[in-house]
Amino acid sequence: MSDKSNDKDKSGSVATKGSTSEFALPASWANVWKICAAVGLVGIGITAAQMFGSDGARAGYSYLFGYNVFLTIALGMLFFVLIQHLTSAGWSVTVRRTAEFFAMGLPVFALLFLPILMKADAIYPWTQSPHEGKGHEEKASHEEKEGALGLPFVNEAHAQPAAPAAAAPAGAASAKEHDDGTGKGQGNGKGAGRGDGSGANVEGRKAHEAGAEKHEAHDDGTGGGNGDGHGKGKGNGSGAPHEGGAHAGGLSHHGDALEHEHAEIMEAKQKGWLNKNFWYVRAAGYFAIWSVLAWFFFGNSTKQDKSKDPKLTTTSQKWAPLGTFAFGISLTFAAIDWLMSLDPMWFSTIYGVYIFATSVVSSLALIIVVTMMLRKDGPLSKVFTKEHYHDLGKLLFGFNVFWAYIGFSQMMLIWYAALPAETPFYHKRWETPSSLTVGNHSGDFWTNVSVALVVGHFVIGFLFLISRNTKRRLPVLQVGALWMLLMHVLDMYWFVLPNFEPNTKAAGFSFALTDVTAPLGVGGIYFAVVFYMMTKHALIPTGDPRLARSIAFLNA
Amino acid sequence: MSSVNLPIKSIGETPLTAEGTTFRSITETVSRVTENPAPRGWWIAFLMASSFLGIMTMAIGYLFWMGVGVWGNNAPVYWAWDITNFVWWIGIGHAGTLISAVLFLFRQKWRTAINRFAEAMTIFAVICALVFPGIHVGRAWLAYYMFPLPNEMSIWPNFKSPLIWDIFAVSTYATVSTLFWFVGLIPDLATLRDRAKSPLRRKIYGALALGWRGSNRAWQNYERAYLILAALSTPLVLSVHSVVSFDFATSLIPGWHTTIFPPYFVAGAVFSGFAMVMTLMLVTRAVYGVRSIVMMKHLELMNKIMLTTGSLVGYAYGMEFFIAWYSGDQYEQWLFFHNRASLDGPFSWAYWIMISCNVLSPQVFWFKKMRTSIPVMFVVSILINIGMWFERFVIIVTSLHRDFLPSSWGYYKPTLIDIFTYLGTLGLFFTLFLLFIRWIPMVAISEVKGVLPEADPHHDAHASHDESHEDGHDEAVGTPAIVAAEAEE
Repeated sequence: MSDKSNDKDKSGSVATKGSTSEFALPASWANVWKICAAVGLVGIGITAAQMFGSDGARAGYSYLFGYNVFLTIALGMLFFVLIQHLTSAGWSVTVRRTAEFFAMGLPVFALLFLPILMKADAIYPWTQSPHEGKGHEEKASHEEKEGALGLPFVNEAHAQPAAPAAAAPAGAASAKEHDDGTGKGQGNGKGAGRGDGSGANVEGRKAHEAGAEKHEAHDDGTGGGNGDGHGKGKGNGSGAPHEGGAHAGGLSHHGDALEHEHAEIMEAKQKGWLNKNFWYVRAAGYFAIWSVLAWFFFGNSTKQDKSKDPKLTTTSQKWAPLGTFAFGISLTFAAIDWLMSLDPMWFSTIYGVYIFATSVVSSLALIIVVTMMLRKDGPLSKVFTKEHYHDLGKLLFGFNVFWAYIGFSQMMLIWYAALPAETPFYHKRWETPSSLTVGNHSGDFWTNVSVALVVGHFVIGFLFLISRNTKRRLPVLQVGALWMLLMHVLDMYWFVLPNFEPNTKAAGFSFALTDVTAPLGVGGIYFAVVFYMMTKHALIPTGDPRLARSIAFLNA
Repeated sequence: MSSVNLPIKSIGETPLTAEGTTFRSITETVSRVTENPAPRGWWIAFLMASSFLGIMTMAIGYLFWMGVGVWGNNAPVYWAWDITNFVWWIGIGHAGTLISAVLFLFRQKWRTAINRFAEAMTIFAVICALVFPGIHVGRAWLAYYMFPLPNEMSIWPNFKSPLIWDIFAVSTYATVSTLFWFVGLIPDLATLRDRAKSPLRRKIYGALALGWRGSNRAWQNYERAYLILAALSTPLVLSVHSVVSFDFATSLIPGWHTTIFPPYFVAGAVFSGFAMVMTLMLVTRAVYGVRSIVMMKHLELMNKIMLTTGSLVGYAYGMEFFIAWYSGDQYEQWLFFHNRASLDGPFSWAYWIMISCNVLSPQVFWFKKMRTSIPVMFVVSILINIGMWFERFVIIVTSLHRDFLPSSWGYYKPTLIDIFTYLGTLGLFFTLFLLFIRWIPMVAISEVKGVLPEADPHHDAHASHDESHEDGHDEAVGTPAIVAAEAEE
């Protein structure tokens, strides 16, 4: 109680002034950006040396991981800015500037994307032709035949016993149906091959039904005029071509047919979405959208510092809805392009929301950590009050639950349905062999990471942040926010690295130096830009008409 | 510091209540509705609604007598209007909890004008929804099998089935919503008690008000209880419709099994709930003259929420479509491109009704002119109600009517009994709703008073202490406690 009245008194005097110079970056921080830049350059240097050296693919995955750790944070920051304008929020005015700074780092991610662009061939399997491709042939033999069936995510009853019986006749019958139905534009030989594959696949999906009937269904309904559906839609895509065994579980006996099947689907996907030219164009689009949004809202806000023009607030609010639209769509497709397509045969409709959730959680955690550090010296302690941290803590708590909800929704539905096309995502994150011995025996590494996320990210985060006392005791909240950031790093590691499959299967997964240097490199450069911007502008929006309200704000 | 929370005109902020609104005028406006005799229009509406309720009773009686064969459900469409109506009603019930819990936690104070209304609707919508699982089991006298009750045959429900999760989710939801609604009502019921002229009225409202005296301590406890209930209800907003979506998404049927279903269903539920609140609010507001409380500002904000949630639903439709194409899964592709969207599909008309009502129609709210036009918002809110019904119909029926076994493909047509049952639940809903309007304060009197400028603890900067507010005024009961920060510390 006494604390609060102190805060209030102080804030009263500050609010009336709100001069820009008063809220400049403290002198002790003036060189932070240089340190960040140095760390970033060294980190990027080491990582790049590896990427363009002997083990390029592994370092490429590290880089993608490091890149996405910070890209998601930057996007979360942009979302924070957007949502404050969208809801005309008054409480958050002082902390909004921090988010604006961090969102303003988004353009630099276009530059940081270049290494990914250059190493796309080593990182993204879909850049290779599904029929040749040196890495993929080797990876295709990557087997997990026994392991696959001991899994919670592969339903033995569906996948295995019916496989040998159903596959052959189904394949034959469906090949015939295909030719009858579509006729034109597809050679006979091709049709047969495809038929085989889909037959095997069909029973993978629904073991108790004959594959042939489904092909009838297909043909009847479309009446032969459906070149499109046939062209793109053969089989339901059980797993990537480079690991038929692992993906299809019990179907690995039919490896050849499946591989062929996958190759066909891959070809269609490469024609439509997953081809490099279109991928470049889309990436350019995302960066354009994010840069424009970040610049627009940052520009309006900093202009207001000087002009104090309330119109700038209404302009920001006016464009926030459209901005949020563009943001949501670009984030979703960027997530699909850069992360989901690491396994080009896998798909999930909730994926964009998942990446969105992790972005919001991590950016809120970073706002808390950074503002608390800035607050240590300088006048900011009067404008970032306990009340703001209480609210930021509530949001962090809430979005952590949201993250868990989205993650659980995806996991539970995939587990429950146990479709061979969908289970690989969790399969990889549960049973991929590894040379690391963490736990009882080797091979548990990704299991442990997955469990660590459930326990660390959700359970510990939930229990730690639920209390009001935690959120209002700033040093304690800072620990919580740092913990959530750490968990975010683990989360992105879990998203990216399981897709890396070493060519020598005996070795399994192991850590690499670049797993440390890449995030340091990307983060260093990103933070350097952000902290450099901080030397140029006030740390709070001194011209916002609601500044006084935000400073005096009390959690009722 | 009194000035900081006042609306800043230069950035378009306006007060939450109309000019000249006072504590007294709010009490008067709202209480009068329950005290004066019902207008003739109310009686006409009530007779119509209760007639429909009668039709529902007869339709259900006939169903019990004859069996579920009187419905249009048949192979391969074993689920049709029954579950469509169930999901539709549950969805409508979501606006109440969102407004009372989520918007409360986000300090969206404008919600005070509509929360009572929406919460009441929630409860009535859940009641209507619960009719369907009860009657669709075929042998209604065995409906209790849905619950995990011990019975002499030791048959337990399958706990791995999302249908039993539904039972838990919906019953929890109904309980918490009712509790929340009632807790919020207590101070207002006390107001009605204090204004009551007849002893009977005083007795009834007095009993319901649980001896509320409006003391500072009572207000503190009340606000704490409200906050806790809001925190408890917030996950329910997400969980209930997520669990409902699991009914479909855990299956293998194309169009049902997709990972975005849980959040997509939640967005759709909030969307349809707001549309229903809007439809009814526009009528009630005009009839009962609560325009000074439910202002254009509130309606506009509701329209913005409908635009948001409608677009989220559009995003989900789009993702389903995109991923069907991207995945290379022929079943998904066939379902979306041929079964639903293609005009050759037998139910494509339903699909396009859904798209135009849910995704396209709310887009008019991008424009302020449209957002503030009563006729436009009335029409759009009704279109959304229709569209959201069709969404469930499309999901359920188009996926089922052409399943994996083409020899059993068929077309679905509802029977008269289907239609009567559905219209009947509308009767049930409106009957309950009209009774609510008649007997219970339809606006949360105490909460609206809380957003008046006078309720700000710092409004009167010269007052020596906040306590002076508590002691000094003569209308203790109807005024919210000014516990803002003080109670918390």
